[in-house]
Amino acid sequence: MDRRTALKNLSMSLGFTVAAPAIFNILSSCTAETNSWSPLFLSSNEKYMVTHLADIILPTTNTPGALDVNAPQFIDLMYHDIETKENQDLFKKGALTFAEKFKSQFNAEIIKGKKEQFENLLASYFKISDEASKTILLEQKLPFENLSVSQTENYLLYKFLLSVKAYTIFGYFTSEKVGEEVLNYDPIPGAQIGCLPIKKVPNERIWAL
Amino acid sequence: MIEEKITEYPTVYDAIVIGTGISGGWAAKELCENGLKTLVLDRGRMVKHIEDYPTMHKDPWDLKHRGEKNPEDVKNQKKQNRSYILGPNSKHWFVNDLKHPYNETKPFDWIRGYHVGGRSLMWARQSYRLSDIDFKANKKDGHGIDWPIRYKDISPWYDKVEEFIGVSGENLGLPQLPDGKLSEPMELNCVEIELKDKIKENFDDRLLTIGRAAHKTGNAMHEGRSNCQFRDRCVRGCPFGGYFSSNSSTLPAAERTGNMHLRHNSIAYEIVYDDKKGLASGVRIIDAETKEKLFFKAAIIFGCASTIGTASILMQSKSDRFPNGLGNDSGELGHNIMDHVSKSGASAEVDGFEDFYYKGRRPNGFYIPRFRNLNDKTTQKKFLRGYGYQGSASRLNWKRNIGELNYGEDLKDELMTPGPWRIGMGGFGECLPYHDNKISLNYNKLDDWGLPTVDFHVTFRENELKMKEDMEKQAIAMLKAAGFKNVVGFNGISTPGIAIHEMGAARMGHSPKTSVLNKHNQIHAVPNVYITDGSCMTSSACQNPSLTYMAITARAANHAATEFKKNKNL
Repeated sequence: MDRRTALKNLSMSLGFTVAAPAIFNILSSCTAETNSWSPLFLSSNEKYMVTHLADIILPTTNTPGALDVNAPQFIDLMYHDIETKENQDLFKKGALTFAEKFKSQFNAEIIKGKKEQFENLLASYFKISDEASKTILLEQKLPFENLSVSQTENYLLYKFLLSVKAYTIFGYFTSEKVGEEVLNYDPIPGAQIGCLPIKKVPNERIWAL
Repeated sequence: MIEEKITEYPTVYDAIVIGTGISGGWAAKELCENGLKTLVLDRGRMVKHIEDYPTMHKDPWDLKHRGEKNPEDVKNQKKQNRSYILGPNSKHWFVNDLKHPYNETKPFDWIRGYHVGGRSLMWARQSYRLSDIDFKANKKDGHGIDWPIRYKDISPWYDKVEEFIGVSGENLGLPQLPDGKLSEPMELNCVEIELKDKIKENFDDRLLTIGRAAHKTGNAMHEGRSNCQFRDRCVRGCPFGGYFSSNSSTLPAAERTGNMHLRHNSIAYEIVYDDKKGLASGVRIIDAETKEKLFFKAAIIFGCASTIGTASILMQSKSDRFPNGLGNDSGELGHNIMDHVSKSGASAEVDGFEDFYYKGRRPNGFYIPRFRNLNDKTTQKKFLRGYGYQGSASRLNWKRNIGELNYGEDLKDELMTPGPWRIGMGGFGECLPYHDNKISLNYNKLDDWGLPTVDFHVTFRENELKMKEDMEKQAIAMLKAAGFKNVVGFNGISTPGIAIHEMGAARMGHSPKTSVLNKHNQIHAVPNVYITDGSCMTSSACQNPSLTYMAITARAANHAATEFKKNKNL
C-alpha cells in the first residue's frame, strides 16, 4: 500500500480530509517571543549571560541561530522544571563565577557586557589546547564533593558553560523551526530505504525526527 | 463473618476472557468468531483504536520539555521507569506505582499497563517461532518438565496468527527458527549489511538477518489497517494500524461478530469453582471505579491477564477443593517464573560508510538467531540453552560530542550533517525454569480494592550469568571480525522482569502432579478454565514470546469452542 492510500485510510478514520503534512502541524504552535520574556528560573544577570552565550554558541548565519528559536527561554524552562536542586545550585554558582571572571577581565558589570566581550571570554575558556581541555572534561566527571578548593572554581565555571551549550544545542535541534525548515522533516516517511547515498538527501543534512 | 455483597449478573455467557492484551485479544477473536457469546474483561480504562492515542502525532517541539522526563511524573512511576520504554509520549500506558504497588524480596521489574489492549500497544513487536529444539529442551537436559506439545502441534496456529497480524521478515530455513508466513522484510542499512557479510565470511555457525517484526508490509489485506509508514512511533499507538495490537486488530475482529461484550474497569479477582460439577462457574470482579462486586457466569473461562496477573487471580481463587489456589494440585502455581536475561553485548564505531545514509525510521533491527547448544557441534561446556542478538546500526545525530569545548558556526553546520556510524547489539537469553523462582500473595499489604499485592522472589542463576558472559564475548568477536573500531563490550546487571518477558507460574505439562495446565491449556482438574498467556510457558526459549502466546491462545480457543459445541449438542 502506498502513502496516498495510507493517508486516505487515516483521514477516513479521523473523519476529515488530510492534507499532509498540514495535519501534523495542528497541534504545534510557533511562538516567536521577543526579548521581553520573564524567566522562571534565571535571574536578570543570568538571563543576560545565557542569551549572549547561546547566541555565540549557535549564531544566526544563513541558517537560524539559537536566539531565533528561543533557546534561552528553553534553558530557563528546563532548569525550572526538569533539573535537580543540586544542578540548579551548581548552575547558579557557575553563573556567578562567570560573572566575577567577566568583571575582573573587563572591569565592568556583566549586565553591561558587550557581545565582543562575551566572545573573548568564552574563547579564553573553550579555545584551549587539547591537553588542557582533556583535563577539564575529566574534572567535570568527578563528584563535586571530591574536588579540591583550587579545582572548585574552574569546575563550576565549566559546568555552567557546558550546560548552557548542551541546552542551547538541545533546544535548537528540537525546535519547530529547525526541525521543519532546516533539517529534513519527514513525519510520515511511508517507505524505508536501508542504504541511501547521502547525495540523495537534501543538503546532505540529518533527518529531523 | 459478614457476607460481602456480590451482585450476580443474570446472563450466563458462553465464555469469559480475562484480559485484552496480546493473548486476551486472540481469545476474544477466536471465541467470538466461533459463535460463542463472550464477555471480555479488562481491569483498566477503555482505549479505542486511534481515538485514544493522545501522543501519536507529537513532534519533539509539541512536548513542553521536548521529550525529557518531568520529575513530577516520574515520582508516580518510579518502578515503571526502570524500563527504557517510558517517556512523555508513552507514560500514560504504564501503571501508577503508588496505586498499583508490588513487593520485591528480590529485585523484580514488573513493567505493565492497565488498559484495554494491555501491552499489545507497547510491545516491541519482535515475532519469532519456537522450534522443537525449544519444545524438547527441558526433556533433553532435565531442567523443569517436558512440554506436552511439540512444534507440529502449534505450527498451523503460528501460520494463522502470522497471516492475521502481519509479520515482516525473511525465511531462512533454520531448524532453531522455523520459517513463517512472512511478508516483505524491512531493509538492513549498509553497515548492517557489512556486518552480515563479515559474519558469513568469518563464522560458519551463525548468521544475521533483518528482525521479524509484527508490522504490516507487502500487499496482504488487513481490515482497517494500513502498511507500516516507518514513523517509529509505535509505542504511542499507531493511527495507521501499521503494527499489530489488540486495539487495531483482534478486538475489532471480535466486535464485528456481534458476540463480544467488552467490559473495562473490571478487576477479576476470583474464578469460582463449583464442586458439584467439577468446573468453574464464573468470575468475580470488582468494578475499578464504583468498587461494586459482581459475579459473571460462563461455560468457559480464559485466563489472559498476563503471567503475574493470571497467576495471582488463580492463587486468590481458593475453595475447599483447592485451598492453595484454583488448579494447584501440583503446588507449582506461582512457581517457575522466568524472564529473558539481557543487558550483555557490544558496540563499535564504523568507518568507511560516510557516503551513505538511510530513509524512514525503521521500527525494527537486525537479528542473529541462536547458535549455541543446537546440536553436538555447538554444545557449550559452561551453560545450557542459548540466546539470540538484536541490534542496529545508525549514524549519530546532533547529540554527538555535546560535552566538548567547541561552539560557533562550524559546530552548527557540522551538527546538521549525519555523524559517524555506530553499531550495537545485545543478547536475549533463555532462563531455566527454577521451582523456587516464585511469587506469593501478600495479605498484609492490600491494594485500594482490598486485594492482596504480589511478592516477587525471582533470581537469575549460574547458567544465566555464564550465558551472559558468552553474549558479551561473542558480540565483541563478531564486531571485531567485521573490522569495526573501538569495539566495547558490556555485561550489565539484568534484573528479572526488565526484558518484560515474564512467564511461567502456571506451566503446561503432561501430569497434574507436576503442572497446572494440560496440553490444551486447560487446568488439569478444571477443564473449562484455559490459561493461555505467558503463565502457561513450560520453558522460556530465547525468542521474544508474544507470537507464541498468540498461537497457543488461538489453538486453545478453538479447542474450547469445539468442546463447547460438542457438549451443547449432547
